[in-house]
Amino acid sequence: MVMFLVGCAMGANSQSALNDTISLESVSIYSTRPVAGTLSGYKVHRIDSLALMEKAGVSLSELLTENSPIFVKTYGRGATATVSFRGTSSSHTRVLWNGIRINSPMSGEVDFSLIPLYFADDVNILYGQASMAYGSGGLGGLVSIDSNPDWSKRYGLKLYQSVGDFQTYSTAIHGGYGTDALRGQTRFFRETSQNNFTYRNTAKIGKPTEVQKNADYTKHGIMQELYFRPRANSMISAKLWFTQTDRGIPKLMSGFSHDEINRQENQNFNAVVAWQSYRENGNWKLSSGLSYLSLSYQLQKLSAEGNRLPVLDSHSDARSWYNTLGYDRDVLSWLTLGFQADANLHWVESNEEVLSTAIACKQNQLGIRTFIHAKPLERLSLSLLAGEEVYDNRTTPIMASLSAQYLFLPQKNLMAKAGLARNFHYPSLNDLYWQPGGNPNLKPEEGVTGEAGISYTAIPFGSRVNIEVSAFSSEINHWIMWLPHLKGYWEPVNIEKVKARGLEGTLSLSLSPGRFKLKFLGNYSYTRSTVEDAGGVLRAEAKGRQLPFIPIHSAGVSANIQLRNYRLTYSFTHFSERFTTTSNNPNSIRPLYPYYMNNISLGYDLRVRSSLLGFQFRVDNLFDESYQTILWRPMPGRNFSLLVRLEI
Amino acid sequence: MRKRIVKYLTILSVLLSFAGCMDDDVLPTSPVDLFGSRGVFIVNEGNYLYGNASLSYYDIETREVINAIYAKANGVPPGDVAYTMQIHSGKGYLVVNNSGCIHVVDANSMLHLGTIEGLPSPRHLLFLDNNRALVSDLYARGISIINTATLKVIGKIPTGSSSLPFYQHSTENMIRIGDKIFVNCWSFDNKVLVISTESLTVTDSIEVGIQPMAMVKDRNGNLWIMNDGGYQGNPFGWENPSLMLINTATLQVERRFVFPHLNDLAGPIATNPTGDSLYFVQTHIYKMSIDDTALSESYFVSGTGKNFQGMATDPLTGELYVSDAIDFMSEGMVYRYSPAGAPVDSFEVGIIPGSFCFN
Repeated sequence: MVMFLVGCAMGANSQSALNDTISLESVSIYSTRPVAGTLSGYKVHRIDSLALMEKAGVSLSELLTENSPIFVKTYGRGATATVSFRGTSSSHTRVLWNGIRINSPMSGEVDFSLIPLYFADDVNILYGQASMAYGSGGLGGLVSIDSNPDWSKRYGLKLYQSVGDFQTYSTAIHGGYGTDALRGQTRFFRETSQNNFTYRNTAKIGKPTEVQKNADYTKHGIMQELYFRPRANSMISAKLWFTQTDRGIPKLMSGFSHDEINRQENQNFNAVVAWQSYRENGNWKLSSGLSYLSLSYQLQKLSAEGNRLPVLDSHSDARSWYNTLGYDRDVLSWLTLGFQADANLHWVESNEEVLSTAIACKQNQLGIRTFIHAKPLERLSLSLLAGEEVYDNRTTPIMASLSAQYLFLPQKNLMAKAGLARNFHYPSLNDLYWQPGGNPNLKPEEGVTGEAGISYTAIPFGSRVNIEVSAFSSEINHWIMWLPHLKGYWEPVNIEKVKARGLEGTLSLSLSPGRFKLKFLGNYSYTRSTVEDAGGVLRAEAKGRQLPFIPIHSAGVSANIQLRNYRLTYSFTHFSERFTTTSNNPNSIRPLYPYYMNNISLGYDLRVRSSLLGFQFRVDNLFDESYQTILWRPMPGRNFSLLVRLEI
Repeated sequence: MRKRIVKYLTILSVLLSFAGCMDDDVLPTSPVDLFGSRGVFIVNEGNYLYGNASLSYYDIETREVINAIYAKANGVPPGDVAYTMQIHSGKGYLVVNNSGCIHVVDANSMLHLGTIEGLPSPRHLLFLDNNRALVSDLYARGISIINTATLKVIGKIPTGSSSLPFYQHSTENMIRIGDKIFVNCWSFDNKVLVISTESLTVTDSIEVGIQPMAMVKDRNGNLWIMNDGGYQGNPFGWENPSLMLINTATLQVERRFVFPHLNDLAGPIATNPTGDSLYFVQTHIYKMSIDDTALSESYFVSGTGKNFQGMATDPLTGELYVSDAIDFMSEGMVYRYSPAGAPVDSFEVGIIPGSFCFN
């Protein structure tokens, strides 16, 4: 058995149980099988499949912005985008692709602009302690992106073509084929944009209208999936995914340099093999995945000799091997026990040609987790999880989580849930070893979080209303922040204590007045994330101030009206002012003013027998606002795109 | 049915009223008039790639501080990583390193007069005469010659080539002594270059310590160099920071003061107006005579809990101004001391205050 485990490596991380059907309703999953990662009392939000389909030609980061309180920090259209929630940083957002972690072992972050939505069938957001079912690190939470087999059709083909302003073209093909037992799915996408939008340059005298330069991008990728279902209760799947992204990095709006080259190239390859079996005597899940993340960055400036010379020419490769084994079993009708083990390895190499510097390091991670899920009363369920992880033979604090949910009114689905958890985040390899600045003595970030919430669902007259309100409070010790150093480079330091707390509210409605179908999703979150003890590394006045780049208020509204084959979607997102300093004092510089964004799209679907031809016309930045979301990185004004979708 | 539609439209219009409008023009302007005021400009670098550099002005007599004075006058920010400022013939020249430019302003109204563009990574300015100035550069391996009337680059002085390693020779501060211009090469380098004012070519070089970060001229027309010593893992090397005296006639290093620890934080240096005393930062601020042959044991001003980033002396009174970047992610402080080291005033400025310019 041990040999078997080592040989095919371990796994148990996939998001959902066997997905034979595709649910079209957005549901909050409160209690499903523990192996599915959703222990009771956890807050999990599944992105509506309609929203997923509508955003296919857009981006995952925009999907998250509009459909959740997640804060997306994007450096421009098509540019690097990182996400954070619940007042934490982007390295505290764990991201899983089909059960394997795709956070870079170097930075700890994920660039969401590299993930094509065409490759995602299911996107789930796990808040706070809900992420712990997949291991440590998700102090904010976890975003899980999955691709699933569609067993409903023997052959299926989907084609997407979109054309948009700024010479933006996107093409995707999704083919499915196979029998009831064996199924293959192949996807391909390519997206290019000159991204040469005009904007009013408010950083230059006279505020001239300028054309954005060097913001072009080309992204393409392929994904292959194979599913083998020998019996109804077991499945073996193999998935591989490769994307390549090449893009220019525009200078800041205030830049006056000439003849620069500033480009970034990413290559990401992920592959995972998983086996899952659901039987009377227990459920098994085993998965093994490989990940290769490569990043090249080049900056060249004009020299006195008149030629371009490299200022930075860096290349980094991160290779990871992820293995997970999971088992759970209903020992009693009301009691489930489970166990998970991880063994992961990382090899990282990074070099910079101009300075001839290089780092190379290896890291191994071992983790075990065990959980109990109990339903002692009809209306009450409890979950307990405990785990321990070891990094390069260094033990970490024990992670543990206790959560409960109670159903007050079964008819109205009024339920309350609460949880308490202790989680941690181990420093990334850049935090520890980056040259210069990396600090091998950094302590892991330790978070203690309490959360509680109420959810109410009613189904009056064929409509559906769901209201959910939750509150959380976290104390994070040894928070890692990169700060500039007197010697001119940046170095990570531990901030003794950060407190993040807030409120989240969600309202979703589905109505069918007359021949109309109306869907509404609104969310709001209030987040205070403050430094409580700077431990001498930040200014004394930083105490009690909001951490840079975390908005206090964020809100999103998405409304969808359908009439016959027509579909109108309006979405609105808002973030309050973000501070860029530890003092929160916007005196000496311009603050990142509140963000309000309105987008609208009109869709028409033509169905002929089992085929579908769909058109979607989108207007982004409806009110043609001149704005930035990061200091001095311009965003485009009103722009249009058309997506044509053919499904056979 | 119609009523319902009206209801939904009402809901939708209420929602749309939330839509608001983003205020992209939030740098308010107000006239600036510094005529007759004696003061010092503080150049605040801001954070790299944040574009949050700013310029502050401190009136030495009234002790009034005007922060973000460039933005106040012009309604736009100076750019990304403002580095140094010089005043020449009634005009201020603000060098903005990562914006690749120098903004020229009226020294009294701060109103923008023009921008010198296309400088790869400008650092310091030195005026050659009424028409020409030199601009040192971190990455160009050369010094740009600019015409101060047309605001155009009119020539280059090569200081290295692509066959040399790193960015050699990157150039920093430039000091003119007689018919020579001395330039320290800080970034992954250990040279002070000598440029002839006649030929505007590099004629000589002097080897100093690792990474000469700052340089000042003393009463005798000799140069004091602060070497930061590099850092752990620096591909060019890592050694104890040191202070050196260069005889500008013989081009020899005459004295060398090595700081006791590898991790000592070397900082800026300045002389008093008469040029016979030297202030330097080595975590704390030390004061020494230019004739001293050993480092002082006791500091002049404590730097405990501070990150001293820039230092200058008032050329009239000899008062010492030193800037503290604090945590580098918020507004810094400037401390003003009497020539005897007594605190006179302190005030908040912009993010990472790095250099001073007296008007």
